[in-house]
Amino acid sequence: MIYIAYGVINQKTAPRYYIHDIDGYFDGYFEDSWMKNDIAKRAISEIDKSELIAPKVIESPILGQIPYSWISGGSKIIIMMNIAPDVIYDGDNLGDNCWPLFLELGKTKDIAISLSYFPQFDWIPGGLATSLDNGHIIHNFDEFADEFLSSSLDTREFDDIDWPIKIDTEKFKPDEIDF
Amino acid sequence: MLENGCFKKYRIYVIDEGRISVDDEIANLIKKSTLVYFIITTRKKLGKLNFSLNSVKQLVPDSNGVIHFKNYITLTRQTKPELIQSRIDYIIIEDSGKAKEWFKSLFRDSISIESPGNGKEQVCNLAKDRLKSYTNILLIFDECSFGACIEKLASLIFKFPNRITLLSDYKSWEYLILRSNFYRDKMTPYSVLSNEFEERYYENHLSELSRQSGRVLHIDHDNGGKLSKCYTDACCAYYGINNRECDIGLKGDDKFIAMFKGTEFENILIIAKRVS
Repeated sequence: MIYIAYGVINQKTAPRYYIHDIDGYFDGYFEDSWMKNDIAKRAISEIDKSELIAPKVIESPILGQIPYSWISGGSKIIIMMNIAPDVIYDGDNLGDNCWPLFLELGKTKDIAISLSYFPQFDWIPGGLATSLDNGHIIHNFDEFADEFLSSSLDTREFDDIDWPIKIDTEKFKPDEIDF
Repeated sequence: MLENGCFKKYRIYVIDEGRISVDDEIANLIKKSTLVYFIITTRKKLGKLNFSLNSVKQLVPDSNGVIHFKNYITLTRQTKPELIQSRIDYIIIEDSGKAKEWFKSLFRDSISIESPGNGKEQVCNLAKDRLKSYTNILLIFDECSFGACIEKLASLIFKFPNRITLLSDYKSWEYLILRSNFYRDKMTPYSVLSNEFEERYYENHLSELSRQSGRVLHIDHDNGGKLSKCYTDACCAYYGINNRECDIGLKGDDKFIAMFKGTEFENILIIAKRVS
């Protein structure tokens, strides 16, 4: 299930396990294993219209062979959500073209995001999301628009939201530096 | 590079997605740097900035793969027959002062007009709520400063595509009055070098032009008070009054027709059923 908290999370007080800077996290923590699955292949194909050649190499029709760090923010967030669903993501990193695959991913995993913009896309059959503002279950794009329109989109504190997933607060913690 | 808290050279700065959050400090810098264009790529709401609906663009590829800049919201203009057929049954206006008063007179108090208590942020929420009871709502907001609310407007238009009417090119009420037959020949168009935000520019420009035209016509945005009847009622000559405090006058006993006949805003006369 996908869980959506509408609004902007206050960056100044958000914890490290709220993934806002997708490039920073993806590029910094990348492991080859993240690319060895069907979702990574589909993200690069469906979102970036490119082909995954090897974990660190992508063939782009425009740019030629590019490193993993050059793929779009949309592909990066989908790949990370698949690998690490136990943190919270800034859903504003998901462009319109990412939502069908995101909903697909939500069929098998629990993923929670914040969302402050109105993506426009074709809802996939069987796709489901839950509004964390009121618990409404969203079954189609019409309901999705309705929930967005009803939300206040205010700036919110991360800790004020009752995130329904078990968050791994140790994930993406910087390594201790031994001087 | 920075002098007195702003950029002083002609430049274009691109702020890429997520790299800088536009807080009060950055917003002030952008506001003061009148020589600079800022291109901000983001999906976040930029509530600290005052920018127009039309300055929000999206990149859209065409069938040849060429990417174009397109307005984020594409609106369709109604034809004259469609406007004549249209039936507005409720009006929501962002402004609560003189603009609201003026629109009430334009519609002859025949349609309810409501302003949300807390300004532009609530315009779309109020519209959504009122659409439970009304069929066609006219939304009047200052287009030149409504950019930060564009996501809400997009979702409202998606949800109720045929039940929302917007006034084309309505940048603000002051702009509307400046483009009327009272002032349009004297009006100086807004320029980015004007050293102030577009909304403020129109407020100041109208204040200046209306003051020059006579004490009774003066419109001061920052000063409350009632709107002069000069903007709603026929000119003094129609009441047999010789008014020496006014330099301008318009022919016709319907002031709204006199103000907008032949202007780019002539269509509001049709919407208000003053002409057909």
